[in-house]
Amino acid sequence: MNLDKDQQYLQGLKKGDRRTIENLYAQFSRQIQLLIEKNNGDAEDAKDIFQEGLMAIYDLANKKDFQLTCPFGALLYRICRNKWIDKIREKNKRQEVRLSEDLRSIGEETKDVLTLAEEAQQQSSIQAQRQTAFLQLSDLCQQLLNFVKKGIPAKDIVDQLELNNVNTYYRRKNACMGRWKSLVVA
Amino acid sequence: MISDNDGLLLEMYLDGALAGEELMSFEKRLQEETALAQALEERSALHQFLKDQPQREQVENILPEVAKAHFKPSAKIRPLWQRSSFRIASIAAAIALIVFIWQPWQQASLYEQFGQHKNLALAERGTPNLDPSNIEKAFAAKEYQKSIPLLENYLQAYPNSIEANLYLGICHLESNHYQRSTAIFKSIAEGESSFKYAGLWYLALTAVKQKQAEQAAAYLTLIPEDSAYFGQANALLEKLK
Repeated sequence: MNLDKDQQYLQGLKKGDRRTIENLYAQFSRQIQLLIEKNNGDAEDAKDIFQEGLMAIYDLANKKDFQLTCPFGALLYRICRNKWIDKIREKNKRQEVRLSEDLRSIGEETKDVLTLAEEAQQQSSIQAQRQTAFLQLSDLCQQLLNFVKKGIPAKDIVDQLELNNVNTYYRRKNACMGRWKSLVVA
Repeated sequence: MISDNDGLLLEMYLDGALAGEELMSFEKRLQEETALAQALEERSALHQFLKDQPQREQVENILPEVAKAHFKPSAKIRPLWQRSSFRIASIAAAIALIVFIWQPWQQASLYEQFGQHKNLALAERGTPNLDPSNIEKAFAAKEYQKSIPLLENYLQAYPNSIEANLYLGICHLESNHYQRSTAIFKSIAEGESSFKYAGLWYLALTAVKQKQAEQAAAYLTLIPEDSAYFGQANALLEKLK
């Protein structure tokens, strides 16, 4: 395992460094495309799965105390593989899913790869849940929280939304955050 | 479950807006009251999610741009020499028949045929503090990733601009952010503005791009005769049959 290189990939992805991301595509995209094409998918599917895989690692890497304990490429491969299995199962709900050897065998993946890939899957689903719940909030709540997202100070939000005072802002924010939390849990 | 007042205090605490006596007493309660501490943890996670979004969106927008140079369709190598000419001929005939009846290429390229967007013209409405020409240029140049933050900025200044919101949806659709584009188009289609049917049309295009023909047809049939989108909706419906 080339720790330095894998750490560079991870840090570059977290920062959104374009050169690192180009390296990641150059290094790993072919392998994922072959995997998907061997299993009833096409280049477009592979492109989507690869992107989802990278975002899953991005979300995982932003978890508190996260440590990459396996090769970046092996983790990405495993995550993409899991995501593709989920997709084809979804497509063929009533049919038996026939997988090629690549998708069935666990191969030489270490326990760390499997555990981290599992964690990434959970993190992706939490992320998606929060995003979906956010979109179900009222326009006013979304507008208010979008200001918060951009790091705009409370007193400026009060002006922008023409609220009476900071107290009204916190009251409204509390209501929106409470609603959001209940939608995430539901 | 915490009280409204505690929720208010939590928000102020997370924002660093509590001070002095109020801060000390709240921190003491956090140590003593499990429900309050748990609520703080949950709220912090959502706050962190919000805080992380701009950077996450930036990364998410770079990926499709970089992906363009990769993932070209592979040429499949088939071991023809292992097959008899009869089998090859029958496979070819079967494929030709299926292709003739289903015309699957039409499904694949329907979005490209129908996904032609009108130019964005925010400037015409006259905007005192913002120069929207950059947004219009970026959109006209099909730089959809670049247009997203520009439109978001514009919407921050003009949150009621349905046109800007519609085009933000189009940029998300072009960038394959289906969840976001669908949410935007739905809100427009469910409204009563002059863009209502544009919202429906783009909901249909979102479904077409994802190869969900039935869903697309369901949206298209809701477009009435007197709408500017009726003609193209009918043409697309014909192709989907």
